[in-house]
Amino acid sequence: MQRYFRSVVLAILLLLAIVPATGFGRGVYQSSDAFLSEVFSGKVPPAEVVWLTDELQTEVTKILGHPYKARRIRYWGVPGKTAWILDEIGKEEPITTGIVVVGGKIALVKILEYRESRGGEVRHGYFTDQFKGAGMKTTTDLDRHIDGISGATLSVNAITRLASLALTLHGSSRFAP
Amino acid sequence: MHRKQKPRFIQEIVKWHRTVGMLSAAFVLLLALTGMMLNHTDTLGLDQRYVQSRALQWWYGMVAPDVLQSYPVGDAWVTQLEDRLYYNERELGGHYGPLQGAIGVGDDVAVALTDAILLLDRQGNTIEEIRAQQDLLPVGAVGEWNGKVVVRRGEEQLVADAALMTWSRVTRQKVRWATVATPPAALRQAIRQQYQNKMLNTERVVRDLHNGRILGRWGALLMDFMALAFIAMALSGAWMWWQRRNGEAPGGKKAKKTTH
Repeated sequence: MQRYFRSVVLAILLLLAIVPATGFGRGVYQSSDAFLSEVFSGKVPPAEVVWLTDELQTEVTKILGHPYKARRIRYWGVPGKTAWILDEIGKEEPITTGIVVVGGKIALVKILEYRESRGGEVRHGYFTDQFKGAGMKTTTDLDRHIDGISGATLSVNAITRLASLALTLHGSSRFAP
Repeated sequence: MHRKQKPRFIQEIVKWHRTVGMLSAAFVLLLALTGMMLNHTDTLGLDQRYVQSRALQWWYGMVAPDVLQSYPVGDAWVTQLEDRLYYNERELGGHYGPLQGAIGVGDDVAVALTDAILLLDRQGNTIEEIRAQQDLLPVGAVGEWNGKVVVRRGEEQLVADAALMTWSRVTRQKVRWATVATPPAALRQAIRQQYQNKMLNTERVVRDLHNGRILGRWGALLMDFMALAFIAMALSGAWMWWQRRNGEAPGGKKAKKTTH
């Protein structure tokens, strides 16, 4: 009897540990200004734009699975390094993500604002650190596998798409090597 | 005495098991089908498909609100209904904070929301959605001065360059601020209709069929009752199997041995 009681208590404790991990996470984690200031050590360069030409929009559509909703995308850069603040929908709401590309490789991925009700674990370093050093293997895919998070698949996919998008856009920026 | 009552009791259980089994079949099918659909929501795109049935919309009490916020821009209208934004009848996609104004400047249209500034062309295509520039937000109003877009943020007025890339503070000028107006009835109706047709997605209906909530509180209770019935069926089924295994038919008689 005592054994069963222990099992039940253990199961409840496990549930209590899992439930907060799968839910919540909605919020602003860093403002865009603070992100840019951090990336450029307080000296944020003026914003630039990449225009989505038909050719680039075709590439972007392949990466995202849908056309990008605007015709130009703003970014900030210095030679060899660009910073992007991009939105992509996980399930229903856009996830605002800051991505830094240095020398054609991802240097930083940071979730700035998460609006979905579930899947907010993508904001943690154990997930975003996987992107460090990633480049493009093909025109649409990263050169490495990104481990998913159970219960956050759509958010994981959205961030992975944004990483590919940032790398592709970096290649079209005036700061690409 | 007890021995005589037991077979009748057992026979009642067998009868009950069969009757409830038949009744449960429909629910088991419903749960299995809707459960499978919910397991593959994304693949099936259930959350992206919307129910157009008037009857179902009515059943859910889904009626588009009549409160629209509209700004005329030349011959066009920029309208917000709840968190959705429309250029004439065309939905711009996405969810936005309250609309603060829209104004045409040259070939472009600047739309100010509390959480973003949209730059559109005159066909309603989005040129850029500016969300990252925190020093601009939240915008209180948008206007035009000297052929340039001006926004009001608190007590400040900020004027954009022609490309809307950089903003600088200006002292009070004679700004032509965007003003709210009432769009034509036909446009209002078309927008409300569009909005209503995107209120109820298929995923919700399937989920509500699965958990019974499509019938409200009573539906959920019905599903609870059926769940209890399934538990009772599983227990009575196991019990009947146990009886047969021990060589006694659930009705109290010895089971005939069959060869396979």
